Amino acid sequence: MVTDHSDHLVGMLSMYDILLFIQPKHIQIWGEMDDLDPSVLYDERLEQVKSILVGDIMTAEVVTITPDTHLMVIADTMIKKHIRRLPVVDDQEVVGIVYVSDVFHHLLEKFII
Amino acid sequence: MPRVKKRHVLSGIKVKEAMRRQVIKLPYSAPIDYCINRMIKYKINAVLLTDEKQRPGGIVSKTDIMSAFYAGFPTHTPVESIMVGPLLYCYPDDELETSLDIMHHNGVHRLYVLDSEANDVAGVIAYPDIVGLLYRYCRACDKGLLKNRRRQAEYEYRRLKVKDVMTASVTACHENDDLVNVIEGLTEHRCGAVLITSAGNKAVGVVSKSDLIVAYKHGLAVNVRARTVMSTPVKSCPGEAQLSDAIQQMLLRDVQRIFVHASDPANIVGVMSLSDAARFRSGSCRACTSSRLIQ
Repeated sequence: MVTDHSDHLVGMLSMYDILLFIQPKHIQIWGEMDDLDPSVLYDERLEQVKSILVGDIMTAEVVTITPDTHLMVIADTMIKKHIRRLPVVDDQEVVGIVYVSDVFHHLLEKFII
Repeated sequence: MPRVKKRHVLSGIKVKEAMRRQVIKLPYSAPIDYCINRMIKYKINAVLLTDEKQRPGGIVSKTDIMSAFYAGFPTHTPVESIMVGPLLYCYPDDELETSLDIMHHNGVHRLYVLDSEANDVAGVIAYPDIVGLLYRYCRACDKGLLKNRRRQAEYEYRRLKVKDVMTASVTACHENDDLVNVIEGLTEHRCGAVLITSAGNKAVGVVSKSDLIVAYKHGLAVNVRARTVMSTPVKSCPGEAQLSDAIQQMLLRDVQRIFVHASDPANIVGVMSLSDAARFRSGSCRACTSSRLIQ
């Protein structure tokens, strides 16, 4: 989660975002890459990341929930919007985060086992 | 005189086979700051702008953002203030060759692909994607350099070299010039990056439009020196390098141009962009070029 000076949520940065940035844009054209050395490629690409700030690649449109959001609504949001984690915000303050695994294990323990 | 029909490697390919289906869109009200974020994250040169009913209305390119930086617009300005329109379209079933001609005649680097049934933008074609397509063609070709190297072929095809395609004039600025000079150089010569040189006229870095929009987003002023934002080292190759190797380097490093050096790597003698390679419209070896003219 990315916050500003007042600790308000301004965006999210995921491992996916970072991997997307490091990957060459046209990588899909390589069906076979066995003649290319990955260590050399990644060394160069990681060098480029150094001038980029979190705010440059974060996602600013963040879907959030509140502490009293219904469990079924949380699961529905995750499914419909393909989101694996939802920050919990109470009056602009971040109070927690719910991962898809939290929802899954909670349902498993409470209602199935 | 017999009619001579040109045939290129790209002949017969439809726009829908070459287009990129991921189109990044923003509403008119989005701030420039966020538009830059999208450009960096998705490595794109332009963002499509849509109205409140999701209808496409214009685009904002890195050039427009660079101009806003030059003019001193605050980064929270809505993109609507700097957008350019109307959009130039092509259709999924158009010939790729025809679309490339439209791009060339209009001096644009991309065309949006309109799905006429849905009346929506279905994709975008841009020069780097076309070069990617050419490169894939070359890699798969039996006469291609990759397969040729592997099997130590008995036949050696004459291959295009970087020096055959490169532009010999290079726009350069001194490392102590400020960004105003850099932006003026980019605008005057209609190029995507300027070479930065040191006192001995040695190449020390490059400032591209991408570097400039990142500097704009980071709150730098236009009077800072070029050396504070330049990318180093200069990505270059010798003029004798194979065209397909140079294209590979550009695609893997996500750069849109590669500088060409003489025997001393600091002595830059030319530049080759992905657009140059796309305009050439051949694969990288003479085997392809020779098939370009048929009666």
